[in-house]
Amino acid sequence: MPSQVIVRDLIKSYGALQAVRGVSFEIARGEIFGMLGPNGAGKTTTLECVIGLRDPDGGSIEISGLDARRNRREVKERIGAQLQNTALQDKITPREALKLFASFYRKPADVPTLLNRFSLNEKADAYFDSLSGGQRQRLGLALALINEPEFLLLDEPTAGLDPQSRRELHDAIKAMRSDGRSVLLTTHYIEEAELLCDRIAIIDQGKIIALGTPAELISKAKALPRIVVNTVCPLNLERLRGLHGVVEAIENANGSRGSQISTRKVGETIIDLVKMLEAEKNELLDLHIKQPSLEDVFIELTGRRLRD
Amino acid sequence: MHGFLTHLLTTLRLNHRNKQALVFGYGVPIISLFAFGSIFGKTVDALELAQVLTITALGGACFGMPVSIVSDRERGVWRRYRLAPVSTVTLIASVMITRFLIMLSSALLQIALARLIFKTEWPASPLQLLAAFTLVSFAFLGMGLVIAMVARTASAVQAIGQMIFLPMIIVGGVGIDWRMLPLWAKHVSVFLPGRYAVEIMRLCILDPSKLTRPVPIGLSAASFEIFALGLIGASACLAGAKLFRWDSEQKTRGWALLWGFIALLGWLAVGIIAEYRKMV
Repeated sequence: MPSQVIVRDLIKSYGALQAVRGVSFEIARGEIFGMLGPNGAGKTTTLECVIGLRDPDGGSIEISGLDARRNRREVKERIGAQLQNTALQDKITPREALKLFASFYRKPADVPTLLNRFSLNEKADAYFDSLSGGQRQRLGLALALINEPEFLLLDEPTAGLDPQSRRELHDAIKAMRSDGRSVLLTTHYIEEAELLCDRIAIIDQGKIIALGTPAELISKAKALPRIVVNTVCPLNLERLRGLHGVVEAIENANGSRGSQISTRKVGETIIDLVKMLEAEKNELLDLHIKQPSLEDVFIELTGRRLRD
Repeated sequence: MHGFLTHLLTTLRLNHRNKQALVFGYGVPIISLFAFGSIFGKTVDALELAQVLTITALGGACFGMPVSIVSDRERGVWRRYRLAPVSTVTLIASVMITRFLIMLSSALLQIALARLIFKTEWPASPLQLLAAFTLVSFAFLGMGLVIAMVARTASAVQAIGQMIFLPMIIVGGVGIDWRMLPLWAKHVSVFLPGRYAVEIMRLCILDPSKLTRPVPIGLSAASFEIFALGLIGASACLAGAKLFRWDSEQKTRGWALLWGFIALLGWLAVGIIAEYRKMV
């Protein structure tokens, strides 16, 4: 599939601080590309360079075959964005805001269609300061689509939303992919990245340290599958460590009852565990298997949790 | 052009939904008219009307417009504009023209109220007064643009605006006729645009048939005022455009601050020429 966006060796410094150190990636047409990283990793700076809000010190950015640094106006016609730290005037209505931004573009989208698509019809003439967080985010997405863009940048679009609003936005973002648009998404929710993104770049200290599909990234995890088990009588951790394939056994964290067993051979460990429970006349209350997650990969690579 | 007009109309509409903007845009100018009328024996003559109109333009330009720009910038509205294919000049022009229209409507209201309540004569040359008010607004809005670019917050606008507003009122010929000022203050007033604003509008309001002795009036008698306000406005607009910031976090580079001095150079040049022409 041809690339919609090509970023090569992007560099950006603020004084002595090198915020972005040679970032390169490509985004295909109709692909949702996620960018994950701890705070201060260089995600937002990369995004702002791509969109033209900051001038990079080096590297190249190509969007829809155009050099983004030389054809800013033309590129702006083709990209849409929802950024953090952007709001609208308190007394502007969604309809007015959409009409205003539509007037800036050569080929704007139809305003009533956007209002309808993002379920803003009922609030179309309400003031911005009376909208809920979810409605504001939906308006932000509608504004990002006002020019029918080929490429969208979404900077933490679901931050601070309730689960229902988040699910609605997930559907809207998936619909963008279905429309054939490319999306560059940053998020603080790892499960959101896993759910939405076709490929993910993990960025830390201004560099991409891992890039691939969620499944590819997870397959590289060093973490082992874990069996989480809860029984009527507490289990002896030393005996658990002696089971087939077990590398480590610990008590459940967060004060919850039960144990966690890290193992290289899930099936054989479970068979041994059941035999052990029978021999001890102990009763199994709950058992489930946790495969390594994207969060495990993230922690292994960056040494931090995503929301740290 | 479509983007420019839509932005202008939207900004005008939003201004009229903002209670604070309405109070400062219309309430305060009306109060200043009544204050002048009360102080000067229940009348408002040509000079006082010119002073009131100058205060209206000065308030709108030094406080109204920059507060609006800085507040929107703090909220990230300008950051969002920057993503659109619309030029800085288009947006600045739209914001300045919007503010001019607000100031103009306020000035028209003041003129009508002055006639109704204080029996002030209608301006002798309404079209010339309109041209003069436009030039005064251009000069002051240029200053307002520089204030908006230098100030990081709305409260900083108030502080910087007062630094310009108060000297102009007290020793700049706006609150007190410059002819009544002590000599040292007359020397100061030639460097301040307020004096030229009052003078050019006074010359357009004066009715020749009511004068006791014939003196040149109208725009033709205000060539230096036209030059002074034009130079001050042009240098300030240029500096404001060069200092333009889309984002509150965007730092103004050291060399860019030189443009702030360019704006002041306009004032300085006008003052030096006025001193040379012995206009004190």
